[in-house]
Amino acid sequence: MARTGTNEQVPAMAWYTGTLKLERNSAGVWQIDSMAITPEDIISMQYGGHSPWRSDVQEVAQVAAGAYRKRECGVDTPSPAAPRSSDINWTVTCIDDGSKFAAHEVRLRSGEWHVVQLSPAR
Amino acid sequence: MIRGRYFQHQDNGGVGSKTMQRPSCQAAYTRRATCSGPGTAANRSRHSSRKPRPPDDLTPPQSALHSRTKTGITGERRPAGDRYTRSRAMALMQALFSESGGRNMTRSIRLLMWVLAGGFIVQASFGQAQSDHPAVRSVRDWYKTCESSAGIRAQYGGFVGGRFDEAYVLLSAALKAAIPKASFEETYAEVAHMKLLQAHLVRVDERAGAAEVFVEEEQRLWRARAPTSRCRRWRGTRER
Repeated sequence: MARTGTNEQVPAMAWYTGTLKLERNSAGVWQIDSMAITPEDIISMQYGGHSPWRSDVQEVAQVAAGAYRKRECGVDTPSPAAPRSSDINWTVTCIDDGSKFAAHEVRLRSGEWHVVQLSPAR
Repeated sequence: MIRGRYFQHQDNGGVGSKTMQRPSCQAAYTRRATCSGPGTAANRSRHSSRKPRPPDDLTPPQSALHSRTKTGITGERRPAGDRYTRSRAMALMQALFSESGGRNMTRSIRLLMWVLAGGFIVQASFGQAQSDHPAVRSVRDWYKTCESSAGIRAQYGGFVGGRFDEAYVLLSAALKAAIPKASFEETYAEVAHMKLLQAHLVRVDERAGAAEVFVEEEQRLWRARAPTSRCRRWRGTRER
């Protein structure tokens, strides 16, 4: 039976990222208590050329560190990320005052790097 | 209307929404994501003039595989130099750790090796501890239940998986109280398959019993097709 136009569906793929907050219940089981999930933008950067710095692990960490300390953080040491790595823990050092930040970054399906954790390091 | 607890699966007018603006026939479907997290900085231009870098492919370069491969005993294809590289590395390691090799090493080199090895072990165990945290395991388990589920408008074409009933059951009582099951089903109505790509523990407060996990998921969907995105059958004027 032929389907009508209104019922037709299109197969598609999408990637989402976000944060799940969990709570441990009285039985000691961790359960999802809230979700904040957004679709990844797999077009703007790859095809539109927008914000290419988002695909650079060092620049993403640099921006995150700058946002943390509320002023820009210049970094002169390259990140130790291998070209194909998708998960990296490293220390960002801001050149102006030598402040250091431990950064955990992961690469998303869109090609962007995302800072999972950033904290001051000694 | 969702009350109280935070439940957002933003789709910018997505599943079941009437505000969908850009339906598509394309395989890779997306919506413009909102910027979030510390990586967003106002002082960076979203429209930089720099050329976009090509997306990094996680597969090895084809040229590297095709140019120097040969078939092993088990029939698998592998780089020709692989065995030699590995045997050379093994020989080096044996030389370093053997007694005779060790005698030739200076104390400082040996110390450096121990420090490097120790650092590697510490880092590996730290990463493992994070990924093995019960909260992360719970997230993985939740996504496992989702893998065998399909939404209420995605169950056709022979798919016989269950709905997202079990996934709903596993949510916290407070979240279930905030989201009626019908709303939850509607959120995933067009999802034919969902799987977790990565999960990382962001923070945990053991005393308060609260944790935050960053996730990336992949969804295969049966999207309702809007009139403008119907498959095209266009003809030039000469063919009329």
